[in-house]
Amino acid sequence: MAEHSAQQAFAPSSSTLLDVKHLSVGFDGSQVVDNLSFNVKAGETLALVGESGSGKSVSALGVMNLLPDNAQVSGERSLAGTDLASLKRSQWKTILGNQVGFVFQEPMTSLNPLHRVGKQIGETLRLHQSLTGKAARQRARELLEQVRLPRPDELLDAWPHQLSGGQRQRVMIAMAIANQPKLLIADEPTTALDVTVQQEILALLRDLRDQHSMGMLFITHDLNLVRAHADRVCVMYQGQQQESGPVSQVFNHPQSDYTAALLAAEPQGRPKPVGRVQPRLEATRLSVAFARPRAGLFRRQPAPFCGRRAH
Amino acid sequence: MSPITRRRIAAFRANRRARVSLWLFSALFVFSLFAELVANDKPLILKFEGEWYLPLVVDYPETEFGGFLPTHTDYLDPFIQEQIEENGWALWPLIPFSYQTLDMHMTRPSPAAPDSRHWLGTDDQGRDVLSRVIYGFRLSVAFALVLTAGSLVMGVFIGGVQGYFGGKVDLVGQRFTEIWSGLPVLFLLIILASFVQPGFWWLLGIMMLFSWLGLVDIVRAEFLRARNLEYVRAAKAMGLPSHLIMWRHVLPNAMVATLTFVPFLFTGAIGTLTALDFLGFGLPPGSPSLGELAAQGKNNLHAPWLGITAFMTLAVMLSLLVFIGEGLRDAFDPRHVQSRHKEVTHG
Repeated sequence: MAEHSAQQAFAPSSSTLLDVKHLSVGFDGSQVVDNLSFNVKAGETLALVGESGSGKSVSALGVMNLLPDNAQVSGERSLAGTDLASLKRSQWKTILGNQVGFVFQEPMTSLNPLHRVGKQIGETLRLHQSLTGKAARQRARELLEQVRLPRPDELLDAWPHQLSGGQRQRVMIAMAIANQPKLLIADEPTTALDVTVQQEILALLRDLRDQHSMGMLFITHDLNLVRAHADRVCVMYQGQQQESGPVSQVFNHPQSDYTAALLAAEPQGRPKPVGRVQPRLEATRLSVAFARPRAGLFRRQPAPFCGRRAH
Repeated sequence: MSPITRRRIAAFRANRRARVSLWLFSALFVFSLFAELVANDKPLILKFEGEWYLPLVVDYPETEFGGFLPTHTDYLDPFIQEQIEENGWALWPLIPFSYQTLDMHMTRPSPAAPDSRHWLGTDDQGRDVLSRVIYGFRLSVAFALVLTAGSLVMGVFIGGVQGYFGGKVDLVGQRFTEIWSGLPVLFLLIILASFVQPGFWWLLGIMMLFSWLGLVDIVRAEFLRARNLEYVRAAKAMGLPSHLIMWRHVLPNAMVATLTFVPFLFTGAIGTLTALDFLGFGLPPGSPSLGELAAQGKNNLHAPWLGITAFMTLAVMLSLLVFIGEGLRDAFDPRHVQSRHKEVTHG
């Protein structure tokens, strides 16, 4: 811990984008996050690591004032010199979506199923840049290209259900970077995706970070991803900060017992192959049929099950 | 139009009973909108001594047509009719009686049974029943339309605010709704009717105070569910103000459950208006009202055409509306839509 604060003191404050000191979050009296301090510099990735329920997401949401009204957030927090703790409700609108972009965990449900992709990207452009009509569409198309989605013109008019999980997450990223934010908060952005897509999305996030020299707060529980994609790491356990520092230092020489336990808990080796065993359940030529009600005076013929029309 | 909407329309069209009901009801309503041209006690066009007259638009004194007094012309007066026949011609509506025309020139006592002069007979004041049914149908539907639209706006607004903000707003709102819905509407209306003579707008206003209650629960539940959806949280993180989140992201999802409820709100409004008129606390005397016709049927059991007409009109109107409502509900039911969809892709 001493090492960490020393490092903070020597860091040039001009490049520090998000600075959080002694953050505490409580809900109706019960403390969820206690005395958390971290900072994110422009152009680097800070990973916030911890098991489920350790307060990672709550910390990020708390810093950005996105928690429900019954949450009490205290501590110093500033974004690029702006004191976030004293901001009024109306001032938050210039921060959220504009200087800070969010990417959430669930790409399958993060897009409104009732709006086309282009319209949803256009919504944030209109809100913060007052872009409408053709200009907004052009910009949305550029954004889709930036997140390396194929056929951007077609995708602008696509419905969310027509996209795969990875594609939707790219759309979410496009929305998050639409207003060229200084800070990108990625809350478990790849948890719901399969492994190959994970790597693509994270590579994309890193490239975008470098291109726009954004700072990135990367919330995850996956230590492998932290090792590969983060510059510095902050480990949390039950709302307490366990350790923080550069990735190589924390991973090679963990200072806290919890970090050491977390690193040791990573699965090693491969599962044993299953030998020759008798199958427990077998089904051959299985079919299922129901007696269907027939049409009558007060009843319509119900639609067929399998799409085969009744003759 | 989104594919979901298109699929819903297809599902509604596939339901024959609902489709036919919608056509029939629309036809009846459009027909009743032109009630003045169908049932009126004035000729549509009149030619008298080489001049054209439009009695529907202009009020002519009787002296114009050879009468002796400068009063409003009673075109049903045999003397005036004789004059018109001698000096020109008149084009009459299909039913030459308006809803409040008292047929003074009838030979039989009121209520009179159906005959060629009054196709559905007259009521106990000598007014044409068919004419009153046409006007009454229009009034009922118009009343229900305005009431439904009004309660939709109020219910969605109140339920939406409660559900979206939750917490104390929801708590206070729900308790208020519970107390408010405990008030006996019918008695309140009866009490109010003793203070003021309730007209169309009075009744509408009083009933509007209570009819939104049914919607609040549905809309509130939908908003409560939707406020925690990922895309609503994403919109919040994007800095979208609350009213825009509610309007663009939450309301469209809540509309399905809400719209399903609307046809039944509609039938409820017609039912309540009829009940009030039946009890004599509704529209002012003389208004064309189906409830008043039903009351006359009750008071004149020897004139069964009154009761039968009132019953048939209400039965047909409410059945059509319920069938349309069922069709809408099925069309909005996602499971129902899915089975239709499968049929389309594989069939």
